[in-house]
Amino acid sequence: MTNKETERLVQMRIQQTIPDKAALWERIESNLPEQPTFPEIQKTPSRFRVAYRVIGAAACFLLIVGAAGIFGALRGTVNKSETAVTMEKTADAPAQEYEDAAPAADNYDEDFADAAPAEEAFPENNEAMNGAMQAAGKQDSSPHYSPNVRQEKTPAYADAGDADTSDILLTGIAYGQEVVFHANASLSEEAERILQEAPDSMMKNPPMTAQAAEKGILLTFTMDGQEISLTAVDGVYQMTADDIAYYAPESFQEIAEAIEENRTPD
Amino acid sequence: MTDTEFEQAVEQIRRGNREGLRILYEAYGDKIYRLFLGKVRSREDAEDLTSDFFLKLWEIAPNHRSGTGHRAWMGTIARNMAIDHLRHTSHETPVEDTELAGQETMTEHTTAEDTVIGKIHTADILSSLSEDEQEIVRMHLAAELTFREIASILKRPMGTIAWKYRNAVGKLKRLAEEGKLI
Repeated sequence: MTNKETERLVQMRIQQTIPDKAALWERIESNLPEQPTFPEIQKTPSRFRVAYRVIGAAACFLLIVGAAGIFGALRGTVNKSETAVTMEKTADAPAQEYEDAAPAADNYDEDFADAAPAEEAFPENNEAMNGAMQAAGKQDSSPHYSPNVRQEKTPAYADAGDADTSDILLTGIAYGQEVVFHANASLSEEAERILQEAPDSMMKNPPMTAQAAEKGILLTFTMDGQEISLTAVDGVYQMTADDIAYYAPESFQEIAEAIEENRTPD
Repeated sequence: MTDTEFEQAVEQIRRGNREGLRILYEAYGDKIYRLFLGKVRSREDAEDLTSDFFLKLWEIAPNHRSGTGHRAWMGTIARNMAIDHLRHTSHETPVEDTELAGQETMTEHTTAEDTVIGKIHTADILSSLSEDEQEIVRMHLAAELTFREIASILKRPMGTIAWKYRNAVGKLKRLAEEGKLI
């Protein structure tokens, strides 16, 4: 006897125990309600619901961080664009426009009242410049550089020593301090005009001054649409030869050339 | 009955058409009855449970999710109903009249195998098996459930079910050959 035969035998015996199907159906049918009631299916919560929530929270967090990063990047781009526009405008605009551009001049005294004295800040620079002047043999009659800090607006240049106002060549903001350059030589009309207009234009243009400070430019201002800069190179203030030639008296020329050639003036 | 045919019958039930339930009864009535009979071992209780099963099916068939195997689903419901019934009647001694009752109609279905081993008493054969083996043999041979469906109902690995079934058949074969159950 095989397993298959045994299975068939048992199956046959079991399946012979059949009910009276017709009678049983009548019994079932007689008890059936008219319509199924369809009980509500209760949705069993997913076993992964916690994981779904964690993943969702992480996704939201990443979305927020990403959005903040993108926003920050865009904001930085906009600020740079605005700065560029400002620089362009200030470089091209005449000095008069700066007077109306910002109220910085109103806070002039307060802004610089706390500034450190330039004599302390730049002693070696002053000596370097004076040394250059002495080497040129024109100390008495030549221009005299003296970075200084203006403590008061009026009377002007109180810390400029015994020089009167006509000695002042340039004044402006350098590294947050007002610096005054003195020249004993007589100035050309153009230089005098610069002296009158340049300081205000510089001080009324904080963005430009700040930009100049970052780049190592000591003084920057615009005159007749041309940007003029005094630069600080390796801690020594110097003017480019072209700048000096443009507005400085002739006595400056030799010094300017010496500076440009990086040599001691004769 | 295929899953598609089952779904069609369920759709009829969903619309309140009793014909859907009758189709299911025709297809599975005797198998469900045998499942109950193997569990409760009482023809009367098996008929009651079969009746209750189809009344219940009338209510819950529309909730069946298609594609999940309707035979295992129905087998699980039947088994749970039988277990509940046994719990409620645990104080009573089960009347093991089922297999004996089954013998009443066997003369009409005598086959060659019956001729050879016609004296094997089915009730004795099955009672020589363990409870697990009896249940698996009944599900497979009486209700014609596959091993996979039985594994799903009993929540056991299919390999375990197949192994137990083979063991059970081996036992039945040895008993028949030794003539101990004649």
